[in-house]
Amino acid sequence: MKEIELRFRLNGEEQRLTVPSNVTLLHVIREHFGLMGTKEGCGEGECGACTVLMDGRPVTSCIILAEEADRHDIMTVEGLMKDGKLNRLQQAFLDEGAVQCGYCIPGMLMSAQGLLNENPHPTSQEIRKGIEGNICRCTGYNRIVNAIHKASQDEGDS
Amino acid sequence: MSQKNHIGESVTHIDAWDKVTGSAVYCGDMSFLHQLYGAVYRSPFSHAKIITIDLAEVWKTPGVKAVVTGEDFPRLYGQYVVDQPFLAFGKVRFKGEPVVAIAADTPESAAEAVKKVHAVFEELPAVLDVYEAVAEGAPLVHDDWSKYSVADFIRPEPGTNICDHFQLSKGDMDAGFREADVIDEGEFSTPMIQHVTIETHCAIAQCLNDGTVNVWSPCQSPFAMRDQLAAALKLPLRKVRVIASSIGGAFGGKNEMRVEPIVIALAMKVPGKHVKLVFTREEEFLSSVVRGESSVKVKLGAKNDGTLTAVKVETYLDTGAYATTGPRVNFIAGFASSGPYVVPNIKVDGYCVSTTRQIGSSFRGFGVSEIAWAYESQMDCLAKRLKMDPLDLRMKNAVEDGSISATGERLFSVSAKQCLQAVADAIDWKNRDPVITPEGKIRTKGIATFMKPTGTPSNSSAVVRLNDDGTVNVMIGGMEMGQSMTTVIAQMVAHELGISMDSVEMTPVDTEYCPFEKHSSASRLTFHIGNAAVRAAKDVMEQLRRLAAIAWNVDPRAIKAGRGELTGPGGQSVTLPELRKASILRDQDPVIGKGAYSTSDIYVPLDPVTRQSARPMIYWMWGAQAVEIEVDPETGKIQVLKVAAAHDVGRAINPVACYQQIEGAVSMGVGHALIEEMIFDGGDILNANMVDYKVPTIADIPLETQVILIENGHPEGPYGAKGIGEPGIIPTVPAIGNALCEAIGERIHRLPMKPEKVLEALKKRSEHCHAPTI
Ligand code: FES
Ligand code: FES
Repeated sequence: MKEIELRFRLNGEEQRLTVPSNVTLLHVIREHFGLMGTKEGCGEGECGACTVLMDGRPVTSCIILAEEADRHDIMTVEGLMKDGKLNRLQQAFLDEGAVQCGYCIPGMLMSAQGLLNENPHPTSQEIRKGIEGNICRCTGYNRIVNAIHKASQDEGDS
Repeated sequence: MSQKNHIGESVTHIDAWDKVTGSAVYCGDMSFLHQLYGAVYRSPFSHAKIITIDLAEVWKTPGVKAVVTGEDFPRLYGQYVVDQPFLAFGKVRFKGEPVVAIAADTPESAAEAVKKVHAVFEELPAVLDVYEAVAEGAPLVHDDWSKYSVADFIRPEPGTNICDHFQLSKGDMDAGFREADVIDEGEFSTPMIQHVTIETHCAIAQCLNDGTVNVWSPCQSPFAMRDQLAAALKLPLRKVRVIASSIGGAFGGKNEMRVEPIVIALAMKVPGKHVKLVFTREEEFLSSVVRGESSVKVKLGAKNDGTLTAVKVETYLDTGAYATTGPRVNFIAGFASSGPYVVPNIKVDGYCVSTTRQIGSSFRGFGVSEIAWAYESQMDCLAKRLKMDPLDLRMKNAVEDGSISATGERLFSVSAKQCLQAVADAIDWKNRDPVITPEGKIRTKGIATFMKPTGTPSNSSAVVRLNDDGTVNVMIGGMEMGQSMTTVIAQMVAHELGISMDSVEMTPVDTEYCPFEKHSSASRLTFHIGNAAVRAAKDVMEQLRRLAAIAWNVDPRAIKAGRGELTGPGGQSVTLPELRKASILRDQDPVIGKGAYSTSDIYVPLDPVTRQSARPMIYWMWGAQAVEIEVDPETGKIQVLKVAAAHDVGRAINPVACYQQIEGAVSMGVGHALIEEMIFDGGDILNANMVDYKVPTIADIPLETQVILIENGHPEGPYGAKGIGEPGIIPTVPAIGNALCEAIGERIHRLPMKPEKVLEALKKRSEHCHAPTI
């Protein structure tokens, strides 16, 4: 397999690495950088568990080749905390009881973060649309919507 | 003193912080230095003899370190019927069954090597349907039940594919039907469905030369797994260690060993090495476990005023190639078959049937979902025949305190009617005439109820280790899988010891040092571990009382012990948060509280034929749901507008956790009602992926779910609490079916109620419910 050289920002840090050209971004995140927060649920772009941000927008990292991340800015769930504190979405997920088994949660948070990046004060309809690609088998979703709504109303950065 | 109550408070889940930061460790996130990766060659046939397996090319693949077949390792395991091989030997019994396992340096080499397996099979006739399976002369999936060790509640029928025949009888069924003014019957079925936990099955095993077997796995019931493994491998229990990881969803699907036998068989070939295997989503559908197909025939007899006189139920549950928990599902379904109604004459025949299909096992609801779909649909049919309001018919027959159950128990702590009334009020049942919206859609309401037992008898234990700063480490053997059980147990311990939630650390489950737990299933942990944990906490207080007596030089009986507080006769006092100051701990034995709870003494063994018993179950779960739906007659699409769900939780230790369980179960129920099914062509699954097997997204769930917690304290529960993990899923499906029948005047008898079926039903819209004349 052809090896390729990549350069990208990962959670704010410049990274360089050489990988086979057929590996996915998810693989690189988990296996090369050991960032295990990003999960694989289906490997085919259907469940959203592997969602990360690329230049601030949510992408399903299981169906994106690492190559496509070259010279882009990638953020995973590990990048959400600032100065040892939860960001407002993470805090709202705790406060609203939006977390059960937790397996979908990193992907869900990244979709939500992507949505808020683009639309800081989404309507409930827009929130629902924003997480339509993220499957949660545990919660019934409404608490997740409430959490995103709450986070979007909190002031502060993030 | 710092007396926070904790009981009844919606404390944030203690593991939620790890989960929102991505630091919770699931099995797939673990790795060991120089670990090997497993891959599996699977049966291409539903049913076939294995003639030869040629591995020469496999060994030539670079990186291959271990290869194992069933012939190399002819061991069987099973929770209730010991019938399942680690890897198939002799023959294969379903398409996708593991036949050869390979471990290699990289996942890629292992996958490459799988392609090099050359196996020759001789195909046998497949058995792909329960009715075919029980027909005269059907090919046998298992030749001889008597060759297997079988748990004593199971009744296999020799020479057939019936792995268990459950029977229950009460009164005189024939006489009951003779007394009836109206008899109504129908058959209801459900397709094969899958749990679709977002985390697929995964395990890592390491076997040492001294016989030790270490397994890391997201298993629901680590001790049940340890016990099965030790029996299969002929090892003492102390040599098998199951280390549980965080679980990314289970719902019954991680109650069985699936990946574990494969990685253990491989790890035995390479002592010392860790072997890891994560199922792909396709493997998950193919060879984890499923909820097998079901067919339920229900016949109801009633007087003209609605009083039920007789119920007959005949159930066929497809347990697939291996029994796993199938017979137990059959047993629990059998117990709940006549619903939460007073019925003097009952006969139930439940058949757990082997086929050459995916393995049917536990699924949230444990058979009661399938049963309730049938009897609650049939109750509405009966109401129609009697021209009665479906709610009135249910209220007229519903059990209450003092009623005698189908199995002869005088019921107590019953809230069937309370739940029905609560949801009827919440959905405004009085105004339930169908409404046509301006867009031409039909809006209707439906209602359903159920009763479900928990597993009985069973046992739990807990250890509370006191640290000298007044904090505790709590060890239990039951698993957190998103239901917030560990939070609830921590709340109970904090309450008993008068300490803050921050002072309680729940120890990750490891069979090497945690105390025994029977199963994390049947919605039983809050009740059973709760009782054990409260006892363990009280034991800590007792031990402290003795230590205080020594320190204060007084008679221990003169010391009053309250929640986390001791008061001596001379005004001395100590609280746990200030334990150090009190200096009652010196160099004495450590304070380790232990508590055990078993229902063996409460349980009264069943009559082997009629299954009557004065106390067959430690508790029953009660609940009801009412729904409002909108049906589009143009497209056949059903939108669930509202679900009102009332469930008796006994006592809500953590109300938000109760809401979460019910809300999540309702949305899963909506999936089962409307969209979920595994689709087959013969033995081939046509939708073994998440593109084609749809589970509810946010677009599919009810627009509103209103949960009503009924707190009808159970006298034997910790603070009155019972379980709530499963029941929310049970009434959702029949309530939607009943609302649909109101809307289109036709009943769909097989799930899911997909648009094409709704359109077809609309087309035929003849009579409402089929019923024989008497
Ligand atoms: S793992 Fe990427 S979408 Fe499911
Ligand atoms: S919390 Fe379990 S899948 Fe979402």
